[in-house]
Amino acid sequence: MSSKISRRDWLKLIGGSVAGLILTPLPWKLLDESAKWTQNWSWIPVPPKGRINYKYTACTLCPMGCGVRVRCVENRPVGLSGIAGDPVGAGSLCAMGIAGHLLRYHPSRLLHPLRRVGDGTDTRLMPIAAEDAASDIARAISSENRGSVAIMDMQPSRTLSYIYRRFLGLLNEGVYINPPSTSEIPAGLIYSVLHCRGAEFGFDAENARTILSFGTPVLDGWGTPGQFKAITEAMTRSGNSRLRITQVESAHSRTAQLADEWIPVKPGTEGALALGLSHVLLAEGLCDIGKLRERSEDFDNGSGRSFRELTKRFSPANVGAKTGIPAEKIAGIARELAANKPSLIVFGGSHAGGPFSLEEQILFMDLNILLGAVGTKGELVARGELPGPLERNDHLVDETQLVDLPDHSIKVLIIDGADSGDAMPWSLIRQKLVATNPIVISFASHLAGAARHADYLLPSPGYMETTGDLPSPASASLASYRITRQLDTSRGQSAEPLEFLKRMAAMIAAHPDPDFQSMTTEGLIKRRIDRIFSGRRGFVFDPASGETTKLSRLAGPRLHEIMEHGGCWTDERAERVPSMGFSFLGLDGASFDRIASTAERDHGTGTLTLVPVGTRGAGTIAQENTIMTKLYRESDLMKTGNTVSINPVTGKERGLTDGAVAAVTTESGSARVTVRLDASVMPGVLEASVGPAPRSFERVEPQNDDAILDICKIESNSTWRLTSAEISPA
Amino acid sequence: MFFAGLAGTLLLGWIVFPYLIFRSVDQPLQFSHKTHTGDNIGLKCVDCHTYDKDGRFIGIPATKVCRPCHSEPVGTSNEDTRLVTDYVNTGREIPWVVYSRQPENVYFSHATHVRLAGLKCQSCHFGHAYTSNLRPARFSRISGYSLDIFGRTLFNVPSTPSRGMSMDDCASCHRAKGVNESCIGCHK
Repeated sequence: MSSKISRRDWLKLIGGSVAGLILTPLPWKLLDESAKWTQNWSWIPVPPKGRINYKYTACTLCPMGCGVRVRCVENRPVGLSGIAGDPVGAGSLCAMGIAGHLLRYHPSRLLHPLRRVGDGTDTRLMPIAAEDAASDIARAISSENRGSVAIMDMQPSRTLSYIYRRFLGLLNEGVYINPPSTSEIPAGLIYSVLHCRGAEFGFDAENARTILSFGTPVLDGWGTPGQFKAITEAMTRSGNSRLRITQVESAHSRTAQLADEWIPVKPGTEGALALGLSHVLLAEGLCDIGKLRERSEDFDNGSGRSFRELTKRFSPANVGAKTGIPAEKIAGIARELAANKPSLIVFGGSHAGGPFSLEEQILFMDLNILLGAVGTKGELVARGELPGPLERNDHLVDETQLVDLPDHSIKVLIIDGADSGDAMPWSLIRQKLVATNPIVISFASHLAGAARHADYLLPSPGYMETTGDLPSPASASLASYRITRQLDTSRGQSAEPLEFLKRMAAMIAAHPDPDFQSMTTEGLIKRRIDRIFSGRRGFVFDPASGETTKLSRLAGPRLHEIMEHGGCWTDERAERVPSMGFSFLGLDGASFDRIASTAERDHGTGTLTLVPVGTRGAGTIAQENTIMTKLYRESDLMKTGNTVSINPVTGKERGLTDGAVAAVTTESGSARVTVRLDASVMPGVLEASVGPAPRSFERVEPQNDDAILDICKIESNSTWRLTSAEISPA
Repeated sequence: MFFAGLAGTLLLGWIVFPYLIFRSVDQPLQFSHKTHTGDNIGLKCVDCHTYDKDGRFIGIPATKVCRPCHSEPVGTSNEDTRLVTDYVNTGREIPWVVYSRQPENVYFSHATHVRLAGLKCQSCHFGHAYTSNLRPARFSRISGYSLDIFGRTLFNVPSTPSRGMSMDDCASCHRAKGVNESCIGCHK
């Protein structure tokens, strides 16, 4: 018998060994161990060892200001979570906020002043000494060149906002700018339609029974987490108090998916739909016509140019043909709004596409008036006033909306580094700058958002590295206030904006204003808290104990103590604001034609319509923390910037397949995009994602994150929601 | 030959590999929990493993905790003598090897689990309080993590948590008790 081992035997041995191997822990454990080994490479930063302790503060990554419980090792934040019972955050944090403490280590963190050098498109950022930057900027401010000095404040109403306005008050031509906001109901709109001057309004969405949302991400980052929680709880209630949400939007957004009903309206026809709904409410007597006629001069004045006359042009049949919504459905929505009150029309707009035009917003407000949805619980309500640290007679310049600013009027623009949550095309800002040698300065902690276009980048302290405050979120129905403390040291050569402005003031004036030079953020915040205390209104939430106390029961020092340790003051529900009357077409007498033409315009005939889509913080630093990186890059749950979703039918017509690289062309330019075929996208529509570009997280100086916004057409009313476009294989 | 290969790798994977992948580290001194607890001296866990004035868990006791009873050797063993001469009398701390040191990216609070949630020590440390000897600590040669942290067995079947302090064990206990089990609850 031969003992020779044949080739066949060797193969059997190997086969048996392999079969046996996979039945042992060896390969799996090696895999597991290798993964753990990678966590322990010496160069990977690990949290320091030390005593664990907790502090409370507020998140400043967006204007909402959620309460944050910070787990620290000694004085170094290592973990963030929400605070149970917090009136704003309701115990939760978003994916951006939960890893906000890691942003200080992001590669795009600015550590020293930079100056842009070079011409045209061939520019780069070079380090510059802070003193040299200050001299350059002071010289530009003092120059005889035509144009104003402006500060664009990305989170208005903070104490820093008052400091900006006070600084601009020292200059001859200082302009304080509020950017377009999707959360805020513009003061001009409130005055124009409701005749209330100076009052701030918010949506009491959580107490409504019916919400009709026009393109607003009510269930996807629009309001505070507290509002979101209350809204979703109201949606799951049984019986008559259940909240029902209808989302009117061309895109099948996350809110559209979560709402009770999605009304896929053709882009740009929302105003027509609002008039169609108004038509049904009036034609079927579903509102108090006598009272409306009594309280409004332009409701039904027999001139042929009244609001009622306008609605007559928009019968459900006409509107149905324009919007793509069946006439019966339009009538059904109107009847439901009238039957299930309080009904509320929400119309902020989208974080990527910006707010609606003033004319469209007037039409949405009109719907609220017809439904009687102004003033009380579950409706559009006036917030109580949040005291500021300074008064108008303290030499503050007035607030100006970016929309209202003349083109080519700014010679020096300082852009605040906070995140408004909304994306904004740079071209919208650029058209406000003078044509020759404008200077743009950024106070930002990171090279992201508008900071990427600045000529001078002056690093400011990042999240949790400075003391600041957070006023009422714009969407909220109640005023609130909280402060955020410095919990960590500032990195690099970061400088407080106030200190830089003081230096500017000293350099440009022969006799610097002593009041301004002696200001401190902490002092102004204390003054603001004192003013809240003197109002004796509202409630104070103490995160350390989890208890809420009436302000009238607290002593002043105790209020300061709670506020300095993450507390939140919330106002009581405001009294109903008396309105003398309404102007359905706005106080501007020429509005009839503008509103009519806005509602009657026809989009998308012959060409495709480009619609920017994106979530809160799209295109800004908030999108660049570790968890958002996973959502975008690793999970593919969110589409990266420069991705365009189209209907397969549109794709077939244009010869495009899923994953194809294509060029989107508009009258403003062209962008290279990746195509996604998605049957939920309306034929003829290009849903263009605004957000971090692929691999932007790895680049220190991203270049084309907002390529989509750059090719959007800026309308004369400063909106960029819709753009005629073409797409073809690249 | 097939079965020879099969048997060989099963032997390698189940018997040899576990010994190869872990290195054993002996404790600097032997200690009998059994002698100190239960019906013998009757100490409870918290008599030695105490909390400081802020409620923070101190962990392994310092030598000064031993001193009241061990200022002189109480037995005849070498370990008794070494405890007194090398550590108690000199004031040096015993460099115990910790079985359950969590990775750097994990935060665990004894105060939360024992004082607030009322968990018994045995829930995680099992019969450690009744052992007569301190077994050698075993650490992975690749990751450096203790065997006690990711389970005493090499296979972790999710439905049957291992007798260890792995993330699966934490998560399954949190789930069973209806406690928050989000990432940031434990990870820094």
